[in-house]
Amino acid sequence: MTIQELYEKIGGSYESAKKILPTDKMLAKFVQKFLSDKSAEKLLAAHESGDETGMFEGSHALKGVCANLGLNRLSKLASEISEEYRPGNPKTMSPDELERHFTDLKALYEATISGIQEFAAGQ
Amino acid sequence: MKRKMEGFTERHTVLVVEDNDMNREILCDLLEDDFNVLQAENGVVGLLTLEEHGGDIAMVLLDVYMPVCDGFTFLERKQESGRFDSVPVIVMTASDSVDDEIRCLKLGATDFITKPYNIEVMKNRMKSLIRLQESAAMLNRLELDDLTRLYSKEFFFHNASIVLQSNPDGRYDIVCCDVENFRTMNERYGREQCDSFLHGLAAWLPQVLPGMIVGGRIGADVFAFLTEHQEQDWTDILKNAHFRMNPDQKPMQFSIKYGVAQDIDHEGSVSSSCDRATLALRQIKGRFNTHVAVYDEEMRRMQLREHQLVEFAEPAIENREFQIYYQPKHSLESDTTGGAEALVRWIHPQLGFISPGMFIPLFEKNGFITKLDFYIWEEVCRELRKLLDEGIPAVPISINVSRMDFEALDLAEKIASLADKYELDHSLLHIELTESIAGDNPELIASTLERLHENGFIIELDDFGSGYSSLTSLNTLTLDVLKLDMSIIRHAAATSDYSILRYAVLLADGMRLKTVAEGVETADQVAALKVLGCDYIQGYYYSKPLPGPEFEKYIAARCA
Repeated sequence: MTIQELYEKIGGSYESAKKILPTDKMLAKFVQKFLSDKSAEKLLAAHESGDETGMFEGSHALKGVCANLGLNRLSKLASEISEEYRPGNPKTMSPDELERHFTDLKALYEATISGIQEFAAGQ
Repeated sequence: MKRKMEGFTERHTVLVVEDNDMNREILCDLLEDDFNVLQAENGVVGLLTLEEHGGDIAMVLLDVYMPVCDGFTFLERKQESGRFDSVPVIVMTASDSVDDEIRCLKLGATDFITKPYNIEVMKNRMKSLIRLQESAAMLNRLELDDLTRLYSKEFFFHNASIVLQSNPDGRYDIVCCDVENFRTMNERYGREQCDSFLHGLAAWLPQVLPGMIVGGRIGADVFAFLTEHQEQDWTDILKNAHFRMNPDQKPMQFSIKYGVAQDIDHEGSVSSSCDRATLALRQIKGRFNTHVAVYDEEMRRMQLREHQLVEFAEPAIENREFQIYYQPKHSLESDTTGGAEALVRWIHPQLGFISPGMFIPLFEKNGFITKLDFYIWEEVCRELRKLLDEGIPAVPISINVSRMDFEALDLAEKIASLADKYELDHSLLHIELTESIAGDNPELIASTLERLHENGFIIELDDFGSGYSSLTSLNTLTLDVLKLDMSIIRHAAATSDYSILRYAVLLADGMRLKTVAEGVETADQVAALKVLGCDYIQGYYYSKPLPGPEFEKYIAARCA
């Protein structure tokens, strides 16, 4: 699998990733590092325990990391969650909507991880 | 903590403070071709790295949200310590949170970059910020006075106070030294000869003053030295100290006076000890056979007499003893008079001419300056109204504002209503303030200036490049014009090295500020300033300060 194929598979934007990490080699290096990035785990764990600060910090970090890797859909979901939990911000989503965000994010994250694992195995 | 200035090709060190391993590594990878990169995983480690590498770090890239010590806390602690004020910080935010950005700016951040990084934009922005910072650092090279190789005034005060602070039990004296009638000597023997005389004197003094620790040039012809305390009477010590000029030089007549403050108070400032020593010195000016004076009880009484001036001040306004002089500013672009600065003179019926250098500091101390300033502003408005009424082309006039004016008055409101009272276009009044003002109560000053600016007044920063110059005032204050201090012009003229001036103009250009060069005296200086792209020139080359009626004639003739 090429890095471009990986991006197609996981629904990331190869173009925006390349704007930040200009060579395939750099992109491959950092996309694999995403496997060990703890932001998403932190966010999901905070969600389990209802820890709002943790949810803000986790989603905020995830948003930044994903944005740098061109994982735009994941970054967008994380961003919407982080705005919801940013200290001082009013709540704009219904509990159902929020739950859907978490479900979508979890699914997308897991698909992204397994795609990257597959890519890493072929390296 | 001086930074080397070896052109802009130097490879700079930047510190990346970011908790997320991935973001940090990406950034370091992207930057390492152009910079030496140091990393810190949170604010605490960032601050420690800053401490450790201090002056080597040219810039900090800072994440906002980090566990342990976040970006806000980092900025707060950096600001509190004050030691790294010259290191610019770019904050990296993943959000577009305006609140966060404002909060960071208030805490002294220089700029923002939003994630995801656009590396080319980012690198260019970093380089231009570092360049600006270095231009400012360049100005601080005026640490040593070029002519005498002694410290400049601010640096002398700074270094002497470090000596005092680090030796709380030490006993010290301050010796100030002044060449009598130096101005007259300059006229009589010429600048070059007199400069060479000062040069020799500055080299000789440290050798004859026992226990000399540090020396500075604190005025055109005034030197100050911090020495170990001498038990022996300074009059005896200096009795046999006779400065002999270099035999190659044409002989000159001169007289050197010394003022001494003994066993100075560690609590007081070095500058106030110098005030005492110079006060002593002033007592023996013009006295033929006395060369040394030590500050004593009598002088303290003398200081009390200064307070007399303060008493005379109030009636002086009523009696119209304060007169306004106008020094024209010449616009190099249009080759006409482009403005003027209003300066005050005090002519007292008994005491005669009282120098502004004497009364302004007194009035600044006791607050009367606010009343005097307001009087001057009104006189200036009246003058402008007169020009307009008589059909003489009015040029903008700069009025000086003092630190106290900001605190005592609703300055923006006051000046606007004054201008409106005389039906003056606000752009005809320029507000001039000195850089040192910004040190106190920066928020009040910044917000007042902003309101003045919104109201159409032009803001000028005076004395730029004298003593400590920092980018902070340029960054936090709303400014339109940068007035380059005479000392930079003199430095350039004396050494034919215009690099500091060039950087000052470059810095102003980069911030879209107009430049005014003050104290310009010769055609060569004008020509050089023209080449550098300076906008306005103020100085004796074009005109000395003129009283109202002469000023009217001057601009009527120039602007017709």
